[in-house]
Amino acid sequence: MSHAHAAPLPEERTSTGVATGKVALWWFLASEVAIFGGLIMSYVVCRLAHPEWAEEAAHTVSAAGALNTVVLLTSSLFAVLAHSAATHGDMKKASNLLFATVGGGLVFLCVKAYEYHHEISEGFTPVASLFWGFYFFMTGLHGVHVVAGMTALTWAALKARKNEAPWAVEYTGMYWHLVDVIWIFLFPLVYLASAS
Amino acid sequence: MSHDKKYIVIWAALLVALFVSLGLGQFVGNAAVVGTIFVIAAVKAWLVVAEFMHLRLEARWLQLVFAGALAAIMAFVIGITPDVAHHWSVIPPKPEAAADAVVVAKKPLEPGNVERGGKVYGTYCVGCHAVDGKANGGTTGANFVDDTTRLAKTDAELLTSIAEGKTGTIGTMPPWKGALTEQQRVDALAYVRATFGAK
Repeated sequence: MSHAHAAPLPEERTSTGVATGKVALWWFLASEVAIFGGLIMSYVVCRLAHPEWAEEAAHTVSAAGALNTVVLLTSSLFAVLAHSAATHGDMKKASNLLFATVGGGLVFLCVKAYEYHHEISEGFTPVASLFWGFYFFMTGLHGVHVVAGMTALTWAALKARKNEAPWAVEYTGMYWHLVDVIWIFLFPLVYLASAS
Repeated sequence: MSHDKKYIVIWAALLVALFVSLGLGQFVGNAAVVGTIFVIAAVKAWLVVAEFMHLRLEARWLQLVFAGALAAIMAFVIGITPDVAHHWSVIPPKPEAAADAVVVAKKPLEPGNVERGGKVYGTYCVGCHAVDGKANGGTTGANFVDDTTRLAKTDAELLTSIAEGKTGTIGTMPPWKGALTEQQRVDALAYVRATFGAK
């Protein structure tokens, strides 16, 4: 297979025509799709069977969810621009952009913490009902992925500062994009499809 | 750096799609609108996966790895949907059942049955009101026999006291609407009137 790959970074080990690290990463991301896909689709099927959940979903803060969508989309832009900078050999710029991506993750977590505080203080705890159980499990698992992504991005950014591990700029960015993609689905599911 | 421009254009398109979804979110009562919101979400996700993660440029077999995960999820949905549909068609959702119960409660009940009421009284009421209905001389509850004002009240008043509980000079009677059905409460009152009321 000698397809044109997206701006290949200096990662040469391969037995398939695609860098082995990237094959592993895509496999890992596919497994993430299975984890979140199973959870999200279970929610969708239950939600369709329970029209009355709309009243509970109406208590989520849509403005906060929309703000966090903007934050994640923008941080994804920083991540892909970091990849672009790395392919052009500008590791300093790549590092800065990765740190900006991490900053986006921080803002996201702050907004999410505000929402959790708001919801729990109104009595909507994870055990309040099946809807809130789904809500906290889905957004909580996603939040754990945000923290993991920020950790990986920080590591890659520090390496890039030393002109090392250019492949990590791309791989950690790809992981971050998947976290973004999951949120793209969670947002309409728990915030928008609510008012009745 | 034409690539970077393209990324920024895609990012702008993603934001526009977000605001379109937010606008549509005002009309989610309509199934077509909800469908459109999720089509927009799918398009946004595709843009990120194809253009930011560059899956569009990857080898075909690597694209299939990702597509395989999506196919597995679809198979999962097809697998569980019949069970979920069956489950909720056999067991109606709880809030509706509760709403039905309220409607039933508003309908006329069977007239109070003294025999059934005696069993309810002997199980739930006798502890405070006692077997003779005198409540240990009116110290542990209402004395139905010697205090004729007690049973002079209407059935509606007494049934409300039984259902909701009551705090008076002697103490507090707990509400019985959770433990007893309305029929049981009506039966118990019938027993009390027949046994302790003025003959």
